[in-house]
Amino acid sequence: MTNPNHSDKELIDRILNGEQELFAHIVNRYKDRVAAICFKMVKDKNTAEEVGQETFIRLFKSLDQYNFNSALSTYITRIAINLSLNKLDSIKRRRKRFFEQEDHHNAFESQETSISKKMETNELVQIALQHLTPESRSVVVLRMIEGYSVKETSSMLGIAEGTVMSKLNRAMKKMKETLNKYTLKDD
Amino acid sequence: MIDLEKMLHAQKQDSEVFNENFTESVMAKIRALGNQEVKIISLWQHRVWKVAVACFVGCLISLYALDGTLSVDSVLGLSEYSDIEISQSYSTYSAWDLELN
Repeated sequence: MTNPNHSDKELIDRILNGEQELFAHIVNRYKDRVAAICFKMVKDKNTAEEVGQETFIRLFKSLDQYNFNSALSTYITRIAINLSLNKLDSIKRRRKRFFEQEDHHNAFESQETSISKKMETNELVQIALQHLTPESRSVVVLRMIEGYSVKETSSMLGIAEGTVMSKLNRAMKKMKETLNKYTLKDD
Repeated sequence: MIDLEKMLHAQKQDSEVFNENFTESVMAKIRALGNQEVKIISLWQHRVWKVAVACFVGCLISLYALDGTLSVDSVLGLSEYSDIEISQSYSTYSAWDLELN
């Protein structure tokens, strides 16, 4: 039997030596972190779950390339963010292709009317997040919610630290505007 | 006044989680992935065997049926006369020799 408290390195070494079933420990260890990112990035429960599963399958396939230079949690977060961005991109392209942009607008409008009555802070933040572009959302999720440093965020997203700062400032400004709009509606 | 930073920090404690079968679903996909890879490898091994057997049979034909006269040069058309033609000419000459003797 395996002790679930084994270090990531020990588990990975054993998985690479053929003990494939031990990968379940890695999944259990990091699934909540991946869920937090996927749900905030993608929002739709089924899609978030799909991205979460794909994240771990990608991790499994690339385990032999992981060189322990960064923490495994950082490596997984990077995969989850990239897959979320890819998923959002493909959803956007599919919407464009089938001319469903109007439906998307309608969905947002109906959301606005339903939330204008009473709204929890959590829901408000979620809606403000969904109003951001996927790239800006990823910066806010990593930096402000998950608490990664600017340097870590920039390395995970593959962009300059200055870009992280400017995207973050713009995103925060836009979120405040969205929140103001909804809280004014509440009053 | 909205304290957005505080609201965002609070989001970390209030995260949604995947359904309880999540780990099992991932592991099932990984097992299926392993089986698929084994299948592909065994399929290729099977094909490699077939190609090796075909090459071996080709060599045997070249050595015995064509009396070892089929060369790379003749196949690629590099020699002026086909090795097969030359071989046939030798056969004809040896037949004539037999008749004369």
